[in-house]
Amino acid sequence: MNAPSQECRAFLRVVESFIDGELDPAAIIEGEHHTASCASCRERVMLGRAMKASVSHLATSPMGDDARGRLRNALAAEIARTPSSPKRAPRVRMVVGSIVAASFAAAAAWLFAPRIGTPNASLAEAGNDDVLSELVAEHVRPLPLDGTDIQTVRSLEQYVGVPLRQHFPASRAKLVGARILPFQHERAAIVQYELGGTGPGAPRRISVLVFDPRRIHLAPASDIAQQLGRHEVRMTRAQGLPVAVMEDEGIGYALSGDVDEKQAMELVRYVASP
Amino acid sequence: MFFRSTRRTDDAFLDEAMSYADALHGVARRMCRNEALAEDLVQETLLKAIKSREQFAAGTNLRSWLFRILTNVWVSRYRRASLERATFDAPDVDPIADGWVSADTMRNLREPEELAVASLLRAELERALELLPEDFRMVVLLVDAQEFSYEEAAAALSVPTGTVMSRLHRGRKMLQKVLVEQGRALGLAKAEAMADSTPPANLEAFREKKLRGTK
Ligand SMILES: [Zn+2]
Repeated sequence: MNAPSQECRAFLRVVESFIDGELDPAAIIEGEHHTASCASCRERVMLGRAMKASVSHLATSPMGDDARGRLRNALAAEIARTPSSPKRAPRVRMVVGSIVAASFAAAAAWLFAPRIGTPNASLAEAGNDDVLSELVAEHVRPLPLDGTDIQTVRSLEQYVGVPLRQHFPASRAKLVGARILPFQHERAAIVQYELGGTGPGAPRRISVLVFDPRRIHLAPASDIAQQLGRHEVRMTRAQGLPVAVMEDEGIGYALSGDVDEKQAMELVRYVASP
Repeated sequence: MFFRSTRRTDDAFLDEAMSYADALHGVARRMCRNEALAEDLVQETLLKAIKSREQFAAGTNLRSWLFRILTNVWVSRYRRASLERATFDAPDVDPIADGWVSADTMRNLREPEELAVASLLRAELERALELLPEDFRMVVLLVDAQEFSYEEAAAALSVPTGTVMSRLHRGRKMLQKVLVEQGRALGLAKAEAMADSTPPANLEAFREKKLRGTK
């Protein structure tokens, strides 16, 4: 067995930089010169390259189609929520919209401070009205759905952590589909429906946000609530639309749509389990 | 009109960001315990990128920027307790030797004649990668799988270039050690290790040499 020569030792000190292409040209030429005449160092380089290739191969794992779809939806939602400046026209409109909504809310004393409340500080930064304004933004400008039939909608339960189902009898509202709505680390589902009827604005639509109230917390700042059977429904507004918030059997719901408060209240009755 | 062009910029950014989703996922999957966490890490990374897309200087390297965000998110949120870090980032007082193995052994490890042996070695390497301390693994992944330069990896992880080099060296040493041991068990390598050790070159000298060489 031959001990490495002085030359080998010198080369082995920089062999990794040589393999990684981090040496300057003069050192590379030196290295190539040495490996051309030294089988041992040549093998060392080839083994190093083979291992690099193996690691690279191990780190090749394309996302599944489902995950990719969810990811794209989440990113598109974020883009829709915050269109680029300097041409911030759409954003300005949204800001004005929420000011109007905010003053309306104050005047109507439907004061509400929804927040995402968990011990995780990173979630708190999501801001006060993020959840409900995302719901309404999503309702006004729906993104592609993750599923349009009840089976696929149900399969989204695994991401939300609470059961999903059809919330209205077919005679009252038609299921359009659902998609996952990410809030930082948490996920909720938005289930969309169409109300029957004709005339201007038809078909009117309803969006129901379904979430795990232990993870996404919509905490009321006031005690204004309406009793609906054994449930307490809190009515608020976001960007001009009414939102009815309710918890039932450990599932959180927020319903919004092309309706007024009275109709929202009537519709949320269906959402509660009998 | 403005809206439309803004929209187009946004859509283009979304498309371009999505084109790196698989690369980000490849690294994330090797850094996280399970698929769900890996997907969360990728999503959080890209959401952060979208949120601050106006800070991204067009014409610069988006891939590099995205991986920088990924490593930041990972360091602040997904990395496990720092105990192993403290141990392994200690000064290299006892460098793992560049254990001397024969050219034959290295050739056998690199291209075993039997397919079954090849897949055994691959599986062993995968396990070894999984067992690598997280900080080492991240550097190995960035440099080997994503072909980051040492300087890019250093910027992504906010550590000095020397730290990248030493983590890389030690991480690879560990992988190689497992591979050689497995090779011995499989009869691919003879018991020929010798005590000679070649620690990485003095980093200052290396940087200086590199600097001189580029001038
Ligand atoms: Zn040599």
